[in-house]
Amino acid sequence: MNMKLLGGIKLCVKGVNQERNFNSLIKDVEIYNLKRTSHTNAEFCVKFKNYKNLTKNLKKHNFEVINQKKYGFIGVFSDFLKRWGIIFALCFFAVGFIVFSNFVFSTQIIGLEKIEYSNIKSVLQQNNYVGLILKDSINTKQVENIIMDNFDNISLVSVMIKGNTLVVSIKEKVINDEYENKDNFKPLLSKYSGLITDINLIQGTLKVQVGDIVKVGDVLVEAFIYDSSHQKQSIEPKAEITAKVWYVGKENHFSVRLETVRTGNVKTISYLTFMGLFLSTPPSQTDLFANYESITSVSCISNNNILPIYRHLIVYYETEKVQIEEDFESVKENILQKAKQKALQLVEEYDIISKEYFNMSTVSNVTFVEYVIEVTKRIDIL
Amino acid sequence: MFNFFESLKKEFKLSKEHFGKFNLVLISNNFLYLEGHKGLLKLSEENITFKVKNGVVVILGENLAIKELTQQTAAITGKIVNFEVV
Repeated sequence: MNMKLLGGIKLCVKGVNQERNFNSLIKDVEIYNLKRTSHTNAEFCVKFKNYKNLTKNLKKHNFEVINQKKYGFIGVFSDFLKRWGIIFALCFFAVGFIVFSNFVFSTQIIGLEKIEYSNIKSVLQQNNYVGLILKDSINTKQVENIIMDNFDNISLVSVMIKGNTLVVSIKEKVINDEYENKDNFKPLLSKYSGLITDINLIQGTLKVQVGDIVKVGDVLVEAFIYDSSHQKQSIEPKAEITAKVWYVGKENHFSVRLETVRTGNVKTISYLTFMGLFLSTPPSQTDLFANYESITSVSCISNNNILPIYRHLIVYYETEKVQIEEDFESVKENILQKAKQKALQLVEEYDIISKEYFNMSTVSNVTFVEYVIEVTKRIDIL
Repeated sequence: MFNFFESLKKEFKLSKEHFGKFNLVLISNNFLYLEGHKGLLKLSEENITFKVKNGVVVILGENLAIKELTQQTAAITGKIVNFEVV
């Protein structure tokens, strides 16, 4: 057998009287590739089976082993065989690989749009196609039939085993809008009040026309149509309806009015409480002003919660009513701005303002101001 | 090992006396096979000497090495310049 293939041990030895020692050695052991490297050194190879025998003899003949090395296939493999951990791990892996390559242990469902993933999975689970399953026991055709039988809105299903995964590919039916949720259609209502300027009907029965003034909640499009045989068919109403919508901010101005003003006189009362009980006698409130307004504040004077002591402070401001006369013209701009701000607060984001104007009317001493902002927008959507 | 010498014996009808001491085969000055040695007397890259019955076999050359050595046989490789039986 070829030593290079099977291998052996190559030794480099040191000693004197080598010829005599080799003659003794070869009585028990076959030596290969013997070569004298120097006066005291020689190298040679032996087979694995003779190694133990050799080491005894080498000691006996005072040979010192300087170097030894395993070579060949068995030489390398024998080192590897001592590594029990690696061998065990390799065996474990090999067994695991062989065993698990015959099982499916995960499921993948693709192609879903409206159908819930959990619905498909529960059907598979009911039929024992989820979890650890032997590949040979899965009939993909049967799985396809089960899914098709359980779901009406699937047009195509394909099942295959890819590695350790059961892949279910689903193609849902495309249901025409007109026939989806047939019984649940509601009419299209106006979201704003305004004057209709443009209508683009997509489907349904139109109940308004251009020029109509509608309020919030008015029906714009009914959720039915009459087909060619005059049968009423439910349908989802769809349209694009544009209208002028007005946002109004109002302000009133009184030329003569009574206002309550503070005189400047102030009275202050304070007392302490502890857990709702008075720590100090609350002062009487009998000698207060005839007309007043008060501001009360409560603060905790202790910084911890062990003693929650609160200080109550009431400040009384004496007031009186005074008559104020104010000409509208002197405050007109101010009033208009206020009315405009109120109108602007009603305008929504992305609304395009097409027109702004204001109306004023005076009755007795009262001036009514209306600031109007006109926008053109779709009233079928919010 | 092999029956080369037995085959020779049969082919040329050689007697036992011819094979009594030692047998030696030299192939192309690169390989020498010796059968029937009594031990190694000298080992070096230029000179390998074996003891045989009633003499010694001296092998001279360059880069000599013993490819296989057993109790009775030896295979020598290298550039064999000369060998003599003394």
